[in-house]
Amino acid sequence: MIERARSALRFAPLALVALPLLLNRTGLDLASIWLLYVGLALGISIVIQRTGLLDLGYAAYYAIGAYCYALLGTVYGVSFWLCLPLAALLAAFVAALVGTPLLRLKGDYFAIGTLGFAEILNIFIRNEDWLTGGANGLSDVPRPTLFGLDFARTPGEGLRSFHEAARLDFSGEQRLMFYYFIILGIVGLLVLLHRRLAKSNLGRAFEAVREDEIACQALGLNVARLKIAAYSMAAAIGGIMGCFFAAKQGFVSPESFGFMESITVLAIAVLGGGRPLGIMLAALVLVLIPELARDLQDYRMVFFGAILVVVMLLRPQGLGGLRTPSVTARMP
Amino acid sequence: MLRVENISMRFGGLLAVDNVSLEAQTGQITAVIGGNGAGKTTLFNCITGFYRPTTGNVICNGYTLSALSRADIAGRARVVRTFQNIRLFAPLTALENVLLAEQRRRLDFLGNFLGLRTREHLAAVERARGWLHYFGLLDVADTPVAALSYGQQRKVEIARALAAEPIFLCLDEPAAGLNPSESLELMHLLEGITREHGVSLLLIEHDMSVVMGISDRIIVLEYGRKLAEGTPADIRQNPDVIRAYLGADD
Ligand SMILES: Nc1ncnc2c1ncn2[C@@H]1O[C@H](COP(=O)(O)OP(=O)(O)O)[C@@H](O)[C@H]1O
Ligand SMILES: [Mg+2]
Repeated sequence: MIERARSALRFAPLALVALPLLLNRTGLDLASIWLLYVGLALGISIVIQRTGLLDLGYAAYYAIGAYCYALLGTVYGVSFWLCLPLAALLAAFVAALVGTPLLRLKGDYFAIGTLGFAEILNIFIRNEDWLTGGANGLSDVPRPTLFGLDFARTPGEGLRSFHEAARLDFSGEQRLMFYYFIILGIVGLLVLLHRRLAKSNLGRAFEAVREDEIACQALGLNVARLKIAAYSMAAAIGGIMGCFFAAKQGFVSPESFGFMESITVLAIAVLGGGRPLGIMLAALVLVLIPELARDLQDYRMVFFGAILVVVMLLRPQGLGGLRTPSVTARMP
Repeated sequence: MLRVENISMRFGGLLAVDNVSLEAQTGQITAVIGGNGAGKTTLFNCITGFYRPTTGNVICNGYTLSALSRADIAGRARVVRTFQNIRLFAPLTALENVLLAEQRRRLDFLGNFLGLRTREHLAAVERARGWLHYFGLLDVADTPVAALSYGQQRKVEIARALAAEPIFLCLDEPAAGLNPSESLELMHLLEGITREHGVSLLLIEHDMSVVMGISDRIIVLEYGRKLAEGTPADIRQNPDVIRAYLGADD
């Protein structure tokens, strides 16, 4: 039974590629939002589950990525594709800078520190209108293009439109499908990254830091550097997600990057147990159901809490399943 | 040679280690014995950087250990320790635990991350397997250490410390919690570490009969002070030691 389920899972990537054919506009949009949260949770789980650091301010790096593209794209016309790596680098750089003092704090103090950093950044974004547009945010963030093909009805200056190049009639769904495939590609790469981390020296060292810092020191491992590596890696992923979010919405404002956003992503990671499949299920439950039942928005947090309590009671390791060793004696 | 020079460690009103000096020779097994609370673990913590001693210095392999971080004491001065309360990475397998000690050598992180089977990595796994084999643990190499018996966990911890390639290996009561036959077997293995593999040992033990057979030199601590020092034969005949041990319950 489990074997059969597992072999069926091999077709999951194929199913995700085929999925847009079945979806209408709303469905496509929801699927992209779902994958966006899957990506964010995959990112934060590197610090939360793998390295054992409670980060309550992950939305800060999401915001950094989003504003990075919103500013560079609107002011300097930097392309979305170039901004993806730039957002990752900027977020990782800020994380290394902020993490150097923060990661010296132990346990709960670190968690409070990350919360403080995210709040300070959010207040900065709200107040510095000249740079960030303040509470109104920044609009008209440029739409991504595919090798110079624009998904608008009338293409932008110097661009061709996609539907003409593909000899199709124009439809708004083409753009939504394009976004879906962008985020699907990113999430696919992140799943690969997770797999490599689970098999590599680096991922194993992160786990050792989580289990016992004192034993790590006694073996000569540089705990501070490993923590910064994990924290920056997660931040880079947050940055990439922010960049995509800004492009997809065409608009950014500080409201999207508040404390509740950090908590939502954290809840998905915890519920998902730090494994890609578990995270996909968790995001399905925690993001899509509240989106679909919009009337119940006010009860969203009650719903979160109830689900988390139930799952933690029944299955403390989350939905993701048990750990598999990074290396075995029989392999080389 | 590892040289402890006039180490004292004070906790509030308690002088846990009182002006202790000792030398452990390279290629030898040196044992520090003493009853519970004699200050043995505290002395180890001072040597390996887990406590900053109130006064005194530790010098080894040309490094002043008191000036190095814990990680550098293990990684650079190559003085590696185990703990009286076993500290393993519980959900990780025995092999993974041992491999982690290889990591201070900056195994090619990037190549390994990309999934390349680099020569360094293969060699590291081979060395880790070698130490597990030495302790008879190859069969449980892929078992999470939390599922192993107490005696096996002890051995994994020692194998892991050895994988860090120490010049001096400091073991804090490795035989604690073992039954007499397990403890005898372990002492044979420890002897082999020094005699065959050339790793110098500094060994803590509260029961002096356990280490008598394998030690080259023994230092006896009592109430934080050095009571006696010498070969096992000297110690056995030392009147101060006889008095202290006849009074003690072990
Ligand atoms: N961190 C500490 N704070 C206060 N007292 C300590 C601390 N560590 C050890 N001691 C005290 O120092 C003395 C020596 O302890 P320890 O070195 O653990 O002895 P041993 O390992 O020989 O049994 C004991 O009285 C113990 O209570
Ligand atoms: Mg002790």
